[in-house]
Amino acid sequence: MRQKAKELLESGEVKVVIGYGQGSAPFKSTPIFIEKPEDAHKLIWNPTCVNNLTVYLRDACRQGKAAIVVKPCDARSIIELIRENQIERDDVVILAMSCPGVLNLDALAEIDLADVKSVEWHQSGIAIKTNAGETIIPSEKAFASKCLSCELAESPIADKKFGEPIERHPIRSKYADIEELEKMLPKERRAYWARQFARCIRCYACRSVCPGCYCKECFTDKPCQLWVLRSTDVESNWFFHFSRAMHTAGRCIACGECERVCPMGIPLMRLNQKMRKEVREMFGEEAGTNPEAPPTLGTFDLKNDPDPCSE
Amino acid sequence: MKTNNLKAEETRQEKEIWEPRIIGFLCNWCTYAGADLAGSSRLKYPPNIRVVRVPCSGRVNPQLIIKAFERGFDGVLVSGCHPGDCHYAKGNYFARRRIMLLKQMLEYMGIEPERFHFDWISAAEGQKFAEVVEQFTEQVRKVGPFMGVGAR
Repeated sequence: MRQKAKELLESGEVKVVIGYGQGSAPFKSTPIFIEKPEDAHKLIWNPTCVNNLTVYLRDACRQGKAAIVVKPCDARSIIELIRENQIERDDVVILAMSCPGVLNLDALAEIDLADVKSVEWHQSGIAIKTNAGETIIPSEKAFASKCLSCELAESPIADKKFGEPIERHPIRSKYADIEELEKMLPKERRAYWARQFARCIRCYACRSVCPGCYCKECFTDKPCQLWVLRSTDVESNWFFHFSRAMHTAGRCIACGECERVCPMGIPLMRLNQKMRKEVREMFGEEAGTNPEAPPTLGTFDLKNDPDPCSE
Repeated sequence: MKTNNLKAEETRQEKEIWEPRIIGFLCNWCTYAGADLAGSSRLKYPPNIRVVRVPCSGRVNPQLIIKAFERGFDGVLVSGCHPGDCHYAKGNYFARRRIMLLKQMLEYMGIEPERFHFDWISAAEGQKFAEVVEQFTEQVRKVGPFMGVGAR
Protein backbone atom coordinates (compact mmCIF):
# COMPACT_ATOMS: atom_id res chain seq x y z
CA MET A 1 0.00 0.00 0.00
CA ARG A 2 2.88 2.34 0.80
CA GLN A 3 4.47 1.39 -2.52
CA LYS A 4 1.30 2.19 -4.42
CA ALA A 5 0.87 5.49 -2.56
CA LYS A 6 4.45 6.40 -3.42
CA GLU A 7 3.93 5.58 -7.09
CA LEU A 8 0.77 7.63 -7.25
CA LEU A 9 2.48 10.66 -5.75
CA GLU A 10 5.64 10.26 -7.84
CA SER A 11 3.75 10.05 -11.09
CA GLY A 12 1.77 13.10 -10.03
CA GLU A 13 -1.50 11.27 -10.58
CA VAL A 14 -2.77 12.36 -7.19
CA LYS A 15 -2.00 15.45 -5.14
CA VAL A 16 -2.56 13.88 -1.79
CA VAL A 17 -2.91 10.47 -0.18
CA ILE A 18 -5.26 10.34 2.79
CA GLY A 19 -4.35 7.52 5.12
CA TYR A 20 -3.64 6.44 8.66
CA GLY A 21 -0.47 7.42 10.46
CA GLN A 22 0.99 6.56 13.83
CA GLY A 23 -0.91 8.34 16.58
CA SER A 24 0.28 9.64 19.91
CA ALA A 25 0.46 6.11 21.30
CA PRO A 26 0.95 2.65 19.75
CA PHE A 27 -2.71 1.84 20.24
CA LYS A 28 -3.89 4.95 18.41
CA SER A 29 -3.75 6.05 14.80
CA THR A 30 -4.32 9.46 13.33
CA PRO A 31 -5.45 10.61 9.89
CA ILE A 32 -2.53 11.82 7.79
CA PHE A 33 -2.33 13.63 4.49
CA ILE A 34 0.74 12.68 2.45
CA GLU A 35 1.79 15.05 -0.29
CA LYS A 36 5.42 14.00 -0.87
CA PRO A 37 6.40 10.55 -2.17
CA GLU A 38 9.19 10.26 0.42
CA ASP A 39 6.64 10.49 3.22
CA ALA A 40 4.72 7.43 2.05
CA HIS A 41 6.43 5.22 4.64
CA LYS A 42 4.44 7.05 7.33
CA LEU A 43 1.30 5.22 6.30
CA ILE A 44 0.29 2.43 8.61
CA TRP A 45 -2.36 -0.29 8.53
CA ASN A 46 -3.35 -2.16 11.69
CA PRO A 47 -6.39 -2.66 13.95
CA THR A 48 -6.07 0.87 15.36
CA CYS A 49 -7.17 2.40 12.03
CA VAL A 50 -10.69 3.13 13.19
CA ASN A 51 -11.46 6.53 11.65
CA ASN A 52 -13.65 6.89 8.61
CA LEU A 53 -11.34 9.03 6.47
CA THR A 54 -13.89 9.75 3.77
CA VAL A 55 -15.04 12.74 5.80
CA TYR A 56 -11.97 14.58 4.39
CA LEU A 57 -12.57 13.51 0.82
CA ARG A 58 -14.79 16.35 -0.32
CA ASP A 59 -12.29 19.04 0.62
CA ALA A 60 -9.36 17.04 -0.73
CA CYS A 61 -11.01 16.45 -4.11
CA ARG A 62 -11.60 20.14 -4.54
CA GLN A 63 -7.81 20.66 -4.53
CA GLY A 64 -7.22 17.95 -7.12
CA LYS A 65 -7.25 14.21 -7.43
CA ALA A 66 -6.83 12.40 -4.15
CA ALA A 67 -6.08 8.85 -3.09
CA ILE A 68 -7.61 7.42 0.04
CA VAL A 69 -7.01 4.36 2.19
CA VAL A 70 -10.31 2.79 3.17
CA LYS A 71 -11.80 -0.11 5.02
CA PRO A 72 -14.64 -1.92 3.22
CA CYS A 73 -17.23 -0.21 5.42
CA ASP A 74 -15.79 3.26 4.77
CA ALA A 75 -15.77 2.60 1.04
CA ARG A 76 -19.54 2.71 1.19
CA SER A 77 -19.29 6.36 2.23
CA ILE A 78 -17.46 7.04 -1.04
CA ILE A 79 -20.32 5.42 -2.92
CA GLU A 80 -22.73 7.70 -1.07
CA LEU A 81 -20.66 10.81 -1.86
CA ILE A 82 -20.60 9.88 -5.55
CA ARG A 83 -24.31 9.10 -5.49
CA GLU A 84 -25.09 12.52 -4.08
CA ASN A 85 -22.79 14.35 -6.50
CA GLN A 86 -20.39 15.48 -3.82
CA ILE A 87 -17.35 14.05 -5.56
CA GLU A 88 -16.60 12.65 -9.00
CA ARG A 89 -15.60 9.03 -9.33
CA ASP A 90 -12.59 10.10 -11.43
CA ASP A 91 -11.32 12.45 -8.73
CA VAL A 92 -10.53 9.71 -6.28
CA VAL A 93 -8.21 6.72 -6.21
CA ILE A 94 -9.52 4.16 -3.75
CA LEU A 95 -6.92 2.02 -2.02
CA ALA A 96 -9.13 -0.62 -0.47
CA MET A 97 -7.73 -2.62 2.40
CA SER A 98 -8.95 -5.97 3.56
CA CYS A 99 -10.03 -5.58 7.17
CA PRO A 100 -10.76 -8.27 9.76
CA GLY A 101 -12.18 -5.66 12.14
CA VAL A 102 -10.96 -2.64 14.07
CA LEU A 103 -9.96 -2.23 17.68
CA ASN A 104 -12.46 -1.36 20.36
CA LEU A 105 -10.47 0.78 22.80
CA ASP A 106 -12.50 -0.53 25.73
CA ALA A 107 -10.89 -3.91 25.17
CA LEU A 108 -7.62 -2.47 26.45
CA ALA A 109 -9.09 -1.68 29.86
CA GLU A 110 -7.11 -4.41 31.64
CA ILE A 111 -3.83 -3.64 29.94
CA ASP A 112 -1.25 -1.14 31.10
CA LEU A 113 -1.50 1.36 28.27
CA ALA A 114 1.94 2.87 28.84
CA ASP A 115 3.38 -0.55 28.25
CA VAL A 116 1.80 -1.27 24.86
CA LYS A 117 4.32 -1.80 22.06
CA SER A 118 2.13 -2.76 19.14
CA VAL A 119 -1.35 -3.83 18.15
CA GLU A 120 -1.66 -6.46 15.44
CA TRP A 121 -4.29 -8.72 13.95
CA HIS A 122 -4.27 -12.32 15.06
CA GLN A 123 -6.27 -15.21 13.67
CA SER A 124 -8.49 -15.32 16.75
CA GLY A 125 -8.72 -11.60 17.48
CA ILE A 126 -6.19 -8.90 18.18
CA ALA A 127 -2.72 -9.41 19.60
CA ILE A 128 -1.38 -6.72 21.92
CA LYS A 129 2.39 -6.78 22.41
CA THR A 130 3.66 -5.34 25.66
CA ASN A 131 6.99 -5.50 27.48
CA ALA A 132 5.58 -8.38 29.48
CA GLY A 133 4.73 -10.38 26.38
CA GLU A 134 1.82 -10.86 24.06
CA THR A 135 -1.85 -10.79 25.03
CA ILE A 136 -4.44 -12.05 22.61
CA ILE A 137 -7.88 -10.52 22.98
CA PRO A 138 -10.63 -12.68 21.43
CA SER A 139 -12.64 -11.17 18.53
CA GLU A 140 -15.91 -10.67 20.43
CA LYS A 141 -14.13 -8.41 22.88
CA ALA A 142 -11.44 -6.87 20.74
CA PHE A 143 -13.46 -5.61 17.80
CA ALA A 144 -15.78 -2.63 17.63
CA SER A 145 -19.43 -3.60 17.79
CA LYS A 146 -20.01 -2.67 14.13
CA CYS A 147 -17.36 -5.21 13.13
CA LEU A 148 -19.18 -7.99 14.94
CA SER A 149 -22.17 -7.58 12.63
CA CYS A 150 -20.11 -6.75 9.51
CA GLU A 151 -21.07 -8.64 6.36
CA LEU A 152 -18.63 -7.05 3.92
CA ALA A 153 -16.06 -9.52 2.60
CA GLU A 154 -14.33 -6.82 0.59
CA SER A 155 -14.67 -3.24 -0.48
CA PRO A 156 -17.69 -2.64 -2.74
CA ILE A 157 -15.73 -0.03 -4.70
CA ALA A 158 -11.98 0.06 -5.31
CA ASP A 159 -9.18 0.98 -7.69
CA LYS A 160 -6.64 -1.24 -6.02
CA LYS A 161 -7.35 -3.91 -3.46
CA PHE A 162 -4.85 -5.04 -0.85
CA GLY A 163 -5.17 -8.32 1.00
CA GLU A 164 -7.54 -11.21 0.51
CA PRO A 165 -11.34 -10.98 0.87
CA ILE A 166 -12.41 -12.04 4.33
CA GLU A 167 -15.02 -14.66 5.04
CA ARG A 168 -17.61 -13.11 7.32
CA HIS A 169 -19.52 -14.81 10.08
CA PRO A 170 -21.44 -12.04 11.86
CA ILE A 171 -21.76 -12.99 15.50
CA ARG A 172 -24.18 -10.24 16.37
CA SER A 173 -27.40 -9.02 14.79
CA LYS A 174 -27.20 -5.51 13.32
CA TYR A 175 -30.53 -4.63 14.82
CA ALA A 176 -30.08 -6.25 18.22
CA ASP A 177 -30.02 -2.92 20.08
CA ILE A 178 -32.98 -1.37 18.38
CA GLU A 179 -35.20 -4.41 18.72
CA GLU A 180 -34.86 -4.07 22.45
CA LEU A 181 -36.05 -0.46 22.21
CA GLU A 182 -38.87 -1.33 19.84
CA LYS A 183 -40.38 -3.59 22.45
CA MET A 184 -40.86 -0.73 24.92
CA LEU A 185 -44.00 1.35 25.27
CA PRO A 186 -43.92 4.75 23.52
CA LYS A 187 -43.82 6.45 26.90
CA GLU A 188 -40.80 4.46 28.01
CA ARG A 189 -39.01 5.13 24.76
CA ARG A 190 -39.63 8.85 25.09
CA ALA A 191 -38.20 8.80 28.59
CA TYR A 192 -35.26 6.75 27.35
CA TRP A 193 -34.36 9.27 24.67
CA ALA A 194 -34.94 12.19 27.03
CA ARG A 195 -32.44 10.63 29.42
CA GLN A 196 -29.93 10.10 26.62
CA PHE A 197 -30.25 13.58 25.13
CA ALA A 198 -30.19 15.28 28.51
CA ARG A 199 -26.50 14.39 28.58
CA CYS A 200 -25.69 15.89 25.17
CA ILE A 201 -23.42 18.93 25.38
CA ARG A 202 -23.89 19.72 21.67
CA CYS A 203 -20.19 19.72 20.87
CA TYR A 204 -21.26 18.69 17.34
CA ALA A 205 -18.51 16.08 17.17
CA CYS A 206 -21.07 13.66 15.69
CA ARG A 207 -21.77 16.13 12.94
CA SER A 208 -18.12 16.96 12.23
CA VAL A 209 -17.06 13.35 11.91
CA CYS A 210 -19.97 12.27 9.72
CA PRO A 211 -19.17 11.88 5.98
CA GLY A 212 -22.88 12.29 5.29
CA CYS A 213 -23.10 15.66 7.08
CA TYR A 214 -21.59 17.76 4.37
CA CYS A 215 -23.80 20.88 4.34
CA LYS A 216 -21.73 24.03 4.09
CA GLU A 217 -23.82 25.60 6.77
CA CYS A 218 -25.73 23.45 9.21
CA PHE A 219 -29.22 24.46 10.29
CA THR A 220 -27.93 24.65 13.85
CA ASP A 221 -25.46 27.36 12.89
CA LYS A 222 -27.93 29.74 11.34
CA PRO A 223 -28.52 32.46 13.90
CA CYS A 224 -31.52 33.84 12.02
CA GLN A 225 -33.39 30.54 12.14
CA LEU A 226 -33.89 29.48 15.71
CA TRP A 227 -34.27 25.77 15.05
CA VAL A 228 -32.30 24.97 18.15
CA LEU A 229 -31.37 27.15 21.08
CA ARG A 230 -27.75 28.11 21.61
CA SER A 231 -27.94 26.64 25.07
CA THR A 232 -28.32 22.92 25.60
CA ASP A 233 -31.62 21.76 26.92
CA VAL A 234 -33.28 18.41 26.41
CA GLU A 235 -35.74 19.77 23.85
CA SER A 236 -33.11 21.39 21.64
CA ASN A 237 -30.86 18.36 21.91
CA TRP A 238 -33.75 16.11 21.01
CA PHE A 239 -34.56 18.27 18.04
CA PHE A 240 -30.95 18.35 16.87
CA HIS A 241 -30.41 14.60 17.01
CA PHE A 242 -33.77 13.75 15.51
CA SER A 243 -33.23 16.21 12.65
CA ARG A 244 -29.75 14.94 12.03
CA ALA A 245 -31.06 11.41 11.80
CA MET A 246 -33.68 12.54 9.27
CA HIS A 247 -31.04 14.42 7.28
CA THR A 248 -28.79 11.40 7.01
CA ALA A 249 -31.70 9.11 6.14
CA GLY A 250 -30.79 6.99 3.15
CA ARG A 251 -27.18 8.04 3.24
CA CYS A 252 -26.03 6.79 6.62
CA ILE A 253 -23.82 3.76 6.04
CA ALA A 254 -23.56 2.93 9.73
CA CYS A 255 -19.82 3.49 10.07
CA GLY A 256 -20.57 4.24 13.70
CA GLU A 257 -18.26 7.25 13.86
CA CYS A 258 -20.84 9.54 15.52
CA GLU A 259 -21.28 7.16 18.39
CA ARG A 260 -17.55 6.53 18.71
CA VAL A 261 -16.62 10.21 19.00
CA CYS A 262 -19.46 11.16 21.34
CA PRO A 263 -17.83 12.33 24.57
CA MET A 264 -21.04 11.66 26.49
CA GLY A 265 -21.53 8.14 25.18
CA ILE A 266 -24.95 8.71 23.62
CA PRO A 267 -26.02 5.60 21.66
CA LEU A 268 -26.57 7.42 18.39
CA MET A 269 -26.37 4.27 16.31
CA ARG A 270 -29.64 3.17 17.81
CA LEU A 271 -31.16 6.10 15.95
CA ASN A 272 -29.28 5.55 12.70
CA GLN A 273 -29.74 1.81 12.56
CA LYS A 274 -33.47 2.25 13.01
CA MET A 275 -33.50 4.68 10.11
CA ARG A 276 -31.53 2.26 7.98
CA LYS A 277 -33.86 -0.55 8.87
CA GLU A 278 -36.93 1.49 7.91
CA VAL A 279 -35.38 2.65 4.63
CA ARG A 280 -34.54 -0.92 3.77
CA GLU A 281 -37.96 -2.26 4.67
CA MET A 282 -40.03 0.46 3.05
CA PHE A 283 -38.00 1.42 0.00
CA GLY A 284 -35.78 -1.64 -0.36
CA GLU A 285 -32.65 0.45 -0.43
CA GLU A 286 -29.38 0.16 1.34
CA ALA A 287 -27.00 3.11 1.51
CA GLY A 288 -23.56 2.56 0.07
CA THR A 289 -24.29 -0.08 -2.50
CA ASN A 290 -25.08 1.64 -5.76
CA PRO A 291 -23.39 4.91 -6.85
CA GLU A 292 -25.80 5.23 -9.80
CA ALA A 293 -29.03 5.20 -7.78
CA PRO A 294 -30.77 8.53 -7.08
CA PRO A 295 -30.77 9.62 -3.41
CA THR A 296 -33.40 7.79 -1.37
CA LEU A 297 -35.44 10.82 -0.39
CA GLY A 298 -34.79 12.64 -3.67
CA THR A 299 -36.87 10.20 -5.64
CA PHE A 300 -40.04 8.15 -5.35
CA ASP A 301 -41.60 4.98 -6.60
CA LEU A 302 -45.07 5.63 -7.95
CA LYS A 303 -46.39 2.13 -7.42
CA ASN A 304 -44.47 0.56 -4.59
CA ASP A 305 -44.06 3.35 -2.06
CA PRO A 306 -46.11 2.74 1.08
CA ASP A 307 -48.95 5.17 1.63
CA PRO A 308 -49.23 6.82 5.07
CA CYS A 309 -53.03 6.99 4.70
CA SER A 310 -53.67 3.34 4.02
CA GLU A 311 -52.67 2.27 7.49
CA MET B 1 -42.22 23.61 42.10
CA LYS B 2 -42.09 20.97 39.41
CA THR B 3 -44.33 18.60 41.34
CA ASN B 4 -46.75 21.46 41.83
CA ASN B 5 -46.89 21.95 38.10
CA LEU B 6 -47.47 18.28 37.52
CA LYS B 7 -50.24 18.26 40.05
CA ALA B 8 -51.83 21.28 38.48
CA GLU B 9 -51.61 19.45 35.17
CA GLU B 10 -53.34 16.42 36.65
CA THR B 11 -56.15 18.39 38.25
CA ARG B 12 -56.68 20.25 35.04
CA GLN B 13 -56.93 16.97 33.25
CA GLU B 14 -59.43 15.68 35.78
CA LYS B 15 -61.58 18.73 35.34
CA GLU B 16 -61.25 18.32 31.60
CA ILE B 17 -60.14 21.86 31.09
CA TRP B 18 -57.38 20.57 28.88
CA GLU B 19 -58.08 20.86 25.21
CA PRO B 20 -55.79 19.25 22.64
CA ARG B 21 -53.62 21.69 20.75
CA ILE B 22 -53.22 20.56 17.18
CA ILE B 23 -51.21 22.10 14.37
CA GLY B 24 -52.12 21.39 10.77
CA PHE B 25 -49.84 21.83 7.76
CA LEU B 26 -52.18 22.09 4.81
CA CYS B 27 -51.33 22.25 1.14
CA ASN B 28 -52.44 25.49 -0.48
CA TRP B 29 -54.00 23.87 -3.54
CA CYS B 30 -56.07 21.09 -2.04
CA THR B 31 -56.51 20.75 1.68
CA TYR B 32 -56.42 24.45 2.48
CA ALA B 33 -59.09 25.00 -0.13
CA GLY B 34 -60.91 21.99 1.34
CA ALA B 35 -60.80 23.63 4.75
CA ASP B 36 -62.12 26.80 3.14
CA LEU B 37 -64.95 24.86 1.64
CA ALA B 38 -65.76 23.31 5.00
CA GLY B 39 -65.94 26.82 6.40
CA SER B 40 -68.07 28.31 3.65
CA SER B 41 -70.39 25.30 3.78
CA ARG B 42 -70.87 26.04 7.50
CA LEU B 43 -69.64 22.60 8.52
CA LYS B 44 -68.76 22.24 12.16
CA TYR B 45 -65.39 20.93 13.27
CA PRO B 46 -63.41 21.31 16.51
CA PRO B 47 -61.57 24.60 16.98
CA ASN B 48 -58.47 22.81 18.29
CA ILE B 49 -56.60 22.94 15.02
CA ARG B 50 -54.26 25.78 14.09
CA VAL B 51 -53.67 25.82 10.39
CA VAL B 52 -50.41 26.65 8.65
CA ARG B 53 -50.74 27.04 4.91
CA VAL B 54 -47.87 25.57 2.92
CA PRO B 55 -47.46 25.63 -0.87
CA CYS B 56 -47.42 21.84 -1.15
CA SER B 57 -47.27 18.81 1.11
CA GLY B 58 -43.79 18.39 -0.37
CA ARG B 59 -42.86 21.64 1.40
CA VAL B 60 -43.47 20.03 4.77
CA ASN B 61 -39.95 19.64 6.00
CA PRO B 62 -39.85 16.86 8.62
CA GLN B 63 -38.20 19.44 10.84
CA LEU B 64 -41.44 21.41 10.99
CA ILE B 65 -43.19 18.41 12.48
CA ILE B 66 -40.32 17.57 14.80
CA LYS B 67 -40.31 21.20 15.94
CA ALA B 68 -44.06 21.15 16.59
CA PHE B 69 -43.65 18.21 18.96
CA GLU B 70 -40.59 19.76 20.54
CA ARG B 71 -42.67 22.85 21.29
CA GLY B 72 -45.30 20.67 22.90
CA PHE B 73 -48.15 20.40 20.43
CA ASP B 74 -50.44 17.51 21.30
CA GLY B 75 -50.98 16.49 17.70
CA VAL B 76 -49.80 17.26 14.18
CA LEU B 77 -51.89 16.92 11.04
CA VAL B 78 -50.37 17.04 7.57
CA SER B 79 -52.51 16.96 4.51
CA GLY B 80 -52.15 17.51 0.79
CA CYS B 81 -53.51 16.63 -2.62
CA HIS B 82 -54.32 13.04 -3.53
CA PRO B 83 -51.53 11.16 -5.33
CA GLY B 84 -51.63 12.20 -8.94
CA ASP B 85 -53.39 15.49 -8.21
CA CYS B 86 -50.42 17.54 -7.06
CA HIS B 87 -50.31 21.08 -8.39
CA TYR B 88 -46.58 20.62 -8.84
CA ALA B 89 -47.07 17.19 -10.43
CA LYS B 90 -45.02 15.16 -7.96
CA GLY B 91 -44.51 17.10 -4.74
CA ASN B 92 -46.80 14.83 -2.77
CA TYR B 93 -44.92 11.72 -3.90
CA PHE B 94 -41.75 13.08 -2.31
CA ALA B 95 -43.80 14.00 0.74
CA ARG B 96 -45.15 10.48 0.94
CA ARG B 97 -41.68 8.93 1.29
CA ARG B 98 -40.51 11.46 3.81
CA ILE B 99 -43.64 11.36 5.92
CA MET B 100 -43.68 7.57 5.94
CA LEU B 101 -40.14 7.54 7.28
CA LEU B 102 -40.86 10.29 9.77
CA LYS B 103 -43.92 8.46 11.00
CA GLN B 104 -41.88 5.39 11.88
CA MET B 105 -39.23 7.50 13.53
CA LEU B 106 -41.71 9.51 15.60
CA GLU B 107 -43.02 6.29 17.02
CA TYR B 108 -39.51 5.08 17.69
CA MET B 109 -38.71 8.32 19.50
CA GLY B 110 -41.60 7.62 21.80
CA ILE B 111 -44.36 9.79 20.41
CA GLU B 112 -47.62 7.89 20.33
CA PRO B 113 -48.61 7.18 16.71
CA GLU B 114 -52.07 8.60 17.46
CA ARG B 115 -50.57 12.08 17.74
CA PHE B 116 -49.64 12.27 14.09
CA HIS B 117 -51.99 12.05 11.17
CA PHE B 118 -51.47 12.29 7.47
CA ASP B 119 -54.25 12.40 4.92
CA TRP B 120 -55.02 13.21 1.33
CA ILE B 121 -57.86 15.75 1.18
CA SER B 122 -58.80 17.52 -2.05
CA ALA B 123 -60.31 20.99 -2.52
CA ALA B 124 -63.72 19.43 -3.07
CA GLU B 125 -63.65 17.41 0.13
CA GLY B 126 -64.83 19.98 2.68
CA GLN B 127 -66.89 17.30 4.35
CA LYS B 128 -63.91 14.96 4.60
CA PHE B 129 -61.78 17.74 6.08
CA ALA B 130 -64.30 18.37 8.84
CA GLU B 131 -64.51 14.64 9.56
CA VAL B 132 -60.76 14.16 9.63
CA VAL B 133 -60.26 17.05 12.04
CA GLU B 134 -63.11 15.79 14.20
CA GLN B 135 -61.75 12.23 14.35
CA PHE B 136 -58.17 13.31 14.83
CA THR B 137 -59.06 15.69 17.67
CA GLU B 138 -60.93 12.89 19.43
CA GLN B 139 -58.01 10.55 18.88
CA VAL B 140 -55.57 13.04 20.41
CA ARG B 141 -57.96 13.76 23.26
CA LYS B 142 -57.96 10.06 24.09
CA VAL B 143 -54.17 9.85 24.29
CA GLY B 144 -54.16 12.83 26.60
CA PRO B 145 -51.88 15.82 26.98
CA PHE B 146 -48.38 15.57 25.55
CA MET B 147 -45.90 16.08 28.35
CA GLY B 148 -43.12 17.22 26.03
CA VAL B 149 -40.09 15.46 24.66
CA GLY B 150 -38.00 16.24 27.72
CA ALA B 151 -40.27 14.48 30.24
CA ARG B 152 -38.31 11.75 32.00
